[in-house]
Amino acid sequence: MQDTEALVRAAQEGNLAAFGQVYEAYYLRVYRYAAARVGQGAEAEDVAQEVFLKALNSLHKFKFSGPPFAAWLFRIAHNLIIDRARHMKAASAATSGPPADLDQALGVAGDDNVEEQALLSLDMEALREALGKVTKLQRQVIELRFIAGLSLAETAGVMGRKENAVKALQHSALGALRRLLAPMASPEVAT
Amino acid sequence: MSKDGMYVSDALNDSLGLMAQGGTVEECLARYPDIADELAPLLHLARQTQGVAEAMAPTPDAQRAGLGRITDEWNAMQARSRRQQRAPWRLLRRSRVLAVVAALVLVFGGWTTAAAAQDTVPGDTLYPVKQTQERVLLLVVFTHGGKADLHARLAEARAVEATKLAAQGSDPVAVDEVTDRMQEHMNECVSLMGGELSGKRSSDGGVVSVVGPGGRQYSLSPNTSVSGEISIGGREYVVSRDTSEYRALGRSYWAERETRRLRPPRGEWSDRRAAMKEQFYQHFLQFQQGRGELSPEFRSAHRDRIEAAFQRSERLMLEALLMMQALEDAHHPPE
Repeated sequence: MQDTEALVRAAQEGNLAAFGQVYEAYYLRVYRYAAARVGQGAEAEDVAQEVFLKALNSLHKFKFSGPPFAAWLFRIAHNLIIDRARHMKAASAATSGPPADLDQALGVAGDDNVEEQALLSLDMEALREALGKVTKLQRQVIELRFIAGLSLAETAGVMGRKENAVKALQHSALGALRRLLAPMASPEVAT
Repeated sequence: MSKDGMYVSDALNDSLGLMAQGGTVEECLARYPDIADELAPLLHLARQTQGVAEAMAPTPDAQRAGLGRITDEWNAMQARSRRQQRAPWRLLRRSRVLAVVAALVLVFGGWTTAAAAQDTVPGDTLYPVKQTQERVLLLVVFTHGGKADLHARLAEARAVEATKLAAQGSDPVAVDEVTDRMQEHMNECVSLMGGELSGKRSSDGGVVSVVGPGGRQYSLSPNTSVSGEISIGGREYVVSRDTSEYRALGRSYWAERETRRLRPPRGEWSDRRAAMKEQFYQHFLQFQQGRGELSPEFRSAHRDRIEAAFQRSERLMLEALLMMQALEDAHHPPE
């Protein structure tokens, strides 16, 4: 696998295969980032797909002098998820149905392994619940750093903050999560 | 944040970096024994969160099917770009050129002459008429897919010319030039379909390979092995080319493997890809047949050079065929 910069440059010059490799390299991480917000399954897959289509259409605008490519890509993902949340909220208000909570979808997956899925859902549920109680910035840093697996520099690029600020934020975010999860988590987390 | 707080944040980040490279929590804590009690639960929690994330996975086909939409979007973007290039003033200029060329063809050639020019090769008196006809066609075909089809047909025409020139014992330079033009048409065709041909000479005993969307490599090996499945007309094939046999006869042998229907093609682009794949396969077979029927003049002092041009042509056809399969798989992963 070539490095991301070389692939992005090749894609900007019209190489579809290079963009395909970028897609392969980042798809799973974008999917996980989306799944943490909208829940596992078809909706997260749709979001991930949409992110790459938007990225393809805007690829000519990406500048190597700015934040890293991953930061640019996840900023697209972040904006897309926020837009979808707004639309869902508006649609929910219009139909006067039950309040639309993006997080309700969490834990819904098409996996056949019920036992494994139950364990996963339990962890996901606890994590989701805790993420719903921390600040927006703390939630974002957890999602970018530990769910999408971005580096500190990439996370700083997405959030538009200095790396030192992101370091402090991830510290406070993990601390806040720990306090929320401690009563229900495994002994090692509660340590 | 206090100085102590910043120290812990730095230590935490440093430890996360170490863990990302395979380090254990214990190794991280050993680096910072003074704050181990504070770091330990945070690192365990980070690892557990990563574990939850790693268990999140899309459905198996979703990722590859997504490549199909990207290829479609890529094609659409290229089509939009080409439409934008045909701004009204460009169209006007193009239509003037078209009118002039058409008039020239009619005045100096006429339809009978144009038809007679079809079988010509470079060097023939009527060959310029054939070239003019082709330029006119490229001007009047405006759709993205139509142009791809036309370039495929023109590539085939150049391949036929190359075998005719060789059969006549022509100068190998002429064969090389025709092969270059065939390559240009083939590149343009595959580019319009969303792929790219490497056009590189094999350094691996004749292996032909392309990289499709997603970086998946497709290759045809001369030693009966094939990676990536070739589906033509709803059937899968494996190419078997015995090297010694190939040298003696200039032939390849395609053997039908078990028939397994892939997902039926859907949509215009899918149909076009399937048609192209079939077309390139037929080109390949016809070209090889043409090679087998070459006249004794072909066995001249220039044989090696002409043979090299032919191998390049064959290689391009196989690359184009593989690329169509790669594009199709990106859209409709095999079941």
